[in-house]
Amino acid sequence: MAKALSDDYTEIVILCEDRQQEVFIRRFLKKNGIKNRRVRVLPYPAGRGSGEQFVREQYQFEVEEHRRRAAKLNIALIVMQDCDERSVEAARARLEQTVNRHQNERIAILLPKRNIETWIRFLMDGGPVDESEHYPKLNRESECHDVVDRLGEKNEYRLTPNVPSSLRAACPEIRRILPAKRCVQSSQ
Amino acid sequence: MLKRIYVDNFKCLVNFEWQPGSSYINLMLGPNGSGKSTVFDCVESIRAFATGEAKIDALFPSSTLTMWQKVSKQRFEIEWDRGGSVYRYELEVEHSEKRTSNWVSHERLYFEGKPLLEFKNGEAILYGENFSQPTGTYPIDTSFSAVSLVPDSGLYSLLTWFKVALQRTIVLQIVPPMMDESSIKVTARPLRYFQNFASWYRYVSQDQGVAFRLHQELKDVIPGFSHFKFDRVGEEATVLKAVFDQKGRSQATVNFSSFSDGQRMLVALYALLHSLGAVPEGLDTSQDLPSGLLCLDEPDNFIASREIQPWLIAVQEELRETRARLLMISHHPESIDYALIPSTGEDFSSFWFSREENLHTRVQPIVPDQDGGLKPSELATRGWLRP
Repeated sequence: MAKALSDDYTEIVILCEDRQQEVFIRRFLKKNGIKNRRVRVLPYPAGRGSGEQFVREQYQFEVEEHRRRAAKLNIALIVMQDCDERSVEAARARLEQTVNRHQNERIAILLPKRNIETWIRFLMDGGPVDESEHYPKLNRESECHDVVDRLGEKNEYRLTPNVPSSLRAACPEIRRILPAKRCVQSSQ
Repeated sequence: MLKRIYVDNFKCLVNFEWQPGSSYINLMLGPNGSGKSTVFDCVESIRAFATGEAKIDALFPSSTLTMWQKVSKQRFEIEWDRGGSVYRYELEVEHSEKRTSNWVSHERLYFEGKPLLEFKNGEAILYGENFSQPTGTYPIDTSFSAVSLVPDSGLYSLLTWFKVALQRTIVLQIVPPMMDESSIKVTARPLRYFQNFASWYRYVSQDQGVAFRLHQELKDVIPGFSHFKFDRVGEEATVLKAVFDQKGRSQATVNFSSFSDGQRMLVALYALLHSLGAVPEGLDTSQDLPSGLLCLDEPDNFIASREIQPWLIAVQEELRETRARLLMISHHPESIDYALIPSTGEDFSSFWFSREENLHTRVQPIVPDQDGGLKPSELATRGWLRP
């Protein structure tokens, strides 16, 4: 039984800090037609606070691996790291210290500020959020599915004026992976 | 879901107690021979006994007594959570002095600490749903489970729920070369090594939803796969076949036996997953049905490492959907590294089994390493992954 191995490979590698980030990105990708088996999440460490270090340490390696293979395979890399107290720009600069991305590379860096819970709170409530505040974690990571579905279901983001700046900054990053994806400013 | 198991004097399990975590997936780790599969043996024997599948001598022969002990009694307890309320099942098996025969010395079932059934000295006392007064006393052969003999009726709905929970428990150590493609009759219960795969699949695929979801899944996993079908061979037997699409040509049909071991394993794993939500025949779906419990012994054997994470993701989604639980023994780095991390709000999801001086088994939760840089699988390989 011949198996078309050449077509069966991981298209998107996710480098993230924790389960909540993983669930968020996986769901977003699924809603955009990318099946789970095409996505590989690098197992992140279980220890609290060690996810940030893990992403920082793996970043250069994964970018270089991506470059080594991108000419032959249709692959992408999504990196997610909480900003915590840094600005998005500072967090990105810190990550890219070791290696800079080229303009057309399918490498997205998503930097929720203060963390992924901030985005989830905004998507759930729609109201303004304080990007310096700690919002509580969900009881179960999968509770974000509905709001992520709404975010990802059409071929566009519809961003309200209250959108946190770090989520707005994620739009061009997502377009590196999904070029057809548009960000639309809504008046709501 | 299974909340606690206690076993005494069964193979290497002596005064052994384990409380699985609340995670959908509980990973059971430890060296070879540390007793992980023995826990599954025990769960399977209790299930088979209390659901009336086999008698005491077949399930708890004297060879299951702990070899370095002289005690003639074996004790088993399991606790099962039902929406915050707890069932407690107790079984005591006694062996004759010469180990030539054995019998039930007592069997009890409680709900929230109150008796539903007590079986002792060959006499079973049944209690109604108000627990206060026995509804009847019955003489029963001590090689049988009294619980299994109680008729499934509204009068004993609490007891029936517990039996259904056991019926929905599946313990498997899948051996792909043993998965038979032929089937004489439909069967709802998979055998331990999945020898009767075709017969079981005939049963679960009667639910069109299960068959459809499995076919959709396998189209991604096995390129060209279209669907399974059964062809009749002779008077009674049927053979499981797979139909493949071929570009520009008509479909090709191959026997299941032509699948590789890895492909058979993938088919088995995804079929099990999609069967979890199916409601067994004869059960009232309007009732509060117990969710399933799947106990898989090294399911990540045989399959490519590339397949493990997608399967684990599919497992998490299906378990979340059906509220079923998976107890999984694994030595595979992919499974260890991915499944070891507990999710928010969940208890420890991984447990370390060990035996001191080759004696009895002990189990402890594995606390994620807060500081170290080594992957859990590397720690396990070095023997450093300790509670």
